[in-house]
Amino acid sequence: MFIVQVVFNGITAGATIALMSIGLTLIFSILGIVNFVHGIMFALGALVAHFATQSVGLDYLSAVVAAALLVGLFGLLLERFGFRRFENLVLEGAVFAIALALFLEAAMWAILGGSPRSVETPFSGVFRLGDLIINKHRLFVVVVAFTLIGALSFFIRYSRYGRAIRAVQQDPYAARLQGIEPHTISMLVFAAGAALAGIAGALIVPMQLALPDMGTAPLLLAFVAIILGGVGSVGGALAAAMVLGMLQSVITTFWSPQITLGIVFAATILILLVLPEGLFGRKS
Amino acid sequence: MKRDRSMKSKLTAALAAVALTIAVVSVSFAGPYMIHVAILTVFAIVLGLSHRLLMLAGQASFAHAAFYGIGAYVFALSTTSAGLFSWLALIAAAVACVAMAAIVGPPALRTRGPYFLVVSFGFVVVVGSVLHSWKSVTNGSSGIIGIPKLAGIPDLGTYYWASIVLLAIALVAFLALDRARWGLQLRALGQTPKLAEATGINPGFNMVLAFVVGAGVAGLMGGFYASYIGFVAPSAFTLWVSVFILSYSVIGGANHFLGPVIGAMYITLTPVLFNWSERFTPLLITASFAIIVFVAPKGILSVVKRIPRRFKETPAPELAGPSTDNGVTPLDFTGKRAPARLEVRGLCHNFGGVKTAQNIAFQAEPGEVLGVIGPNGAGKTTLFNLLSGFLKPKGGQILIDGERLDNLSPAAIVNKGLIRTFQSTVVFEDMTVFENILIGVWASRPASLYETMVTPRSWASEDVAKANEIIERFDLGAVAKLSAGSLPYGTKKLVGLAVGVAGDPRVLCLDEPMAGMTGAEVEHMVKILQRMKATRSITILIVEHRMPAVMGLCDRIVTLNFGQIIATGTPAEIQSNSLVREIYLG
Repeated sequence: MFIVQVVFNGITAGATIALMSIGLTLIFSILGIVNFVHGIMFALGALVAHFATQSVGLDYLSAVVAAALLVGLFGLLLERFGFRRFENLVLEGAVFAIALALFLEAAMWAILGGSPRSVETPFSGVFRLGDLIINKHRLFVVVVAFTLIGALSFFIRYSRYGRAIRAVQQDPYAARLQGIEPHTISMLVFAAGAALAGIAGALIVPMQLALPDMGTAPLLLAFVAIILGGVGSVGGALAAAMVLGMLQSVITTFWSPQITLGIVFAATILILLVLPEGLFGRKS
Repeated sequence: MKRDRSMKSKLTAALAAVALTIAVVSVSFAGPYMIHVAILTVFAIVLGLSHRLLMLAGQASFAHAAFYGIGAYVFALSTTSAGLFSWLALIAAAVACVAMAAIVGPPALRTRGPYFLVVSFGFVVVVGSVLHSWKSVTNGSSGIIGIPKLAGIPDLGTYYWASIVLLAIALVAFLALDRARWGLQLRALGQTPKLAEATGINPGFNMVLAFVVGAGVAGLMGGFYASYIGFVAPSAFTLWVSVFILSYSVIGGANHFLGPVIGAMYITLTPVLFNWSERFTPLLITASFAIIVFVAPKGILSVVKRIPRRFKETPAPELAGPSTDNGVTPLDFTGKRAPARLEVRGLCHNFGGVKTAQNIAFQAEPGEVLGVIGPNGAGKTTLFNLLSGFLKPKGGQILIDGERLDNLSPAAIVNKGLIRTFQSTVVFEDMTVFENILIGVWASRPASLYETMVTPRSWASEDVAKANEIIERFDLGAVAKLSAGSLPYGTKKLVGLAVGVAGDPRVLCLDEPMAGMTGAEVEHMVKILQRMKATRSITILIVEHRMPAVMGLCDRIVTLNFGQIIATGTPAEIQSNSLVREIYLG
């Protein structure tokens, strides 16, 4: 039973990482941007949820939707007025993203200060199945995350815009010749990726206090997930995120949460040394 | 041109020296806080300079703070626990980092771009986590206190002068690397990796070397830092330190020697000079950082250096005009190696189920011009990639005068005398034509590590003379000083050919040398190739779609279709071959 508990915690952690890493990997595959701002979007999602429930008086579910919309809009604006300039300048784009992330984090500290903010969930309490204790909110997180990931995969595979996204991933130039505007697609992808990160933040905030730097650890893990999953692959990112979530849960349970990142990165380095293109990556 | 250059660099050096002297002397009167800031700025500059080496080769590393930290801890532990003499401990710090980088570098640098970014970033996290958790040695997050000063440098004032000496040594040393062969080779790798490899520059070895040298210097700085502050803790060597070290080069411009110097001074000095309050410093510094990168993605210096060029008149490069001779004067060079016989036996290759080379066999006699034609997708470029080592054959042999080339790396194949050009990535765009040709010249003259890294490249007068000879023979004198990227397409292709020829090839493989050229440019190119052929001093393979040119130039022609040779023969035989006519010539 204890093992089931650990596995369930791993699935919850993995679902959060997956929400982050799928957006990251799509953004990278379209624009060539290593988006370090994604951790900030996670924190923004959490903060939007906090202010929407505490100051505006929305209920929690509406607050999650608000986080998706506002952070998604923020992502769209960032693409339009910032990242578009760095198309295929991988290094410069990454550094710009780092600078922007540092600035936004500094701005959040300056405006909000260090006081932690919390959000109440309507799904408080637990289910008991014999010895097994399942936190209702965790279950909610898992259900929402997998529903969204499923919907996104469906969208990418079968919808008109999804096909356009895959076309631009493969060859923006050829896509343009077919009447697809790559910049529209990259704005769409940025907005969707940001919205997913915002939702992830809003989903996590009832379990963890909101602080400006709360997105750093999920961001780092999401990077590991996309590298292991092979850049650009949604399925790979999802699979790698679940592996990492499980790893995180096991290390946290049996060892100490502080060294999770160290061990995860050590494992990643070892894997990349053997497979320089990641676990599921193709040789270019 | 040379005088122009040296005058300019002398002026720059003189100005820099004056500015530095003024700054150095005035700071020594400015009180302990300013002196402290100046010392930290020196640390930042040296870290930035050492980090830039790998940036030049096109790889951004987040690992620098880890080596800085390892150096600091090695110094701290060996002076406190082991009681080592402080200067020996400083050497130990550098040696430890060199060893660490030599172990981690080769496997880590198999990854590229964003993958390497994450591997190096993982390295910092892992090192940080070890420093935190290995409490019995590192004392965990409380760190190590009571680290002794370096012997002979007891107080702030002497540390200041020592750091000035350090800065001077670092500037001279890194400028030397920049001016030596290595500086240009690293830039070549960073700009156009494939072409660099095709001129005999080994990417793996050079990147690891840049990584190791950078790590050693970072370790040394770590030791200085530990002795100066007297206290080390994991919090001083986090990912964010790496981010700032990386930002020095990006802000200033990694392509310029002074880039990381300016970047480091900007980041460390701006908050102090403008007296920003502690509360707003992070906000303002990161905001300005983002704005600088947005406005000038290639760094401040890339913008500054562009300004004077606007006022200078650039001579319009006039090339491809009718040559004075009638296309029969042999185009030869002094000190040529003898042409080689190329033999290909049973060469096989496939991409998954697509057979791109099936049992290909042919030979080219020394000095022969052999054409390779065939419809799109016939496997012509694959054949060239196999010959030059960019693809590994799944079977068969490639021999140059009886020596096996298959299974050698592209750089090793270049050293054996087989050189190729590319269809589209033709030149190093951000270098002058002269520098392009010089890199080509080096392909035929490997140098010792010492010469590569230390001797200024302008001192190798034979190389310079040979580059100038090539420039003269190819009529490129008018454009020698211009950046190759600014040239018209046809001229770029001509420069690309000259880079290949500069490497003194025994076998030269030309991948569509006339693709995309205008009529006049094609005529010019054909004439040059005719004149090269007249010397019979290079065995030449040409892939080309312009049939009149191919028929006129080649002694024999190999025709490919779906990875198979369907016909070999003289131009007349090929033109009358019914199969070739049906499939390709139409």
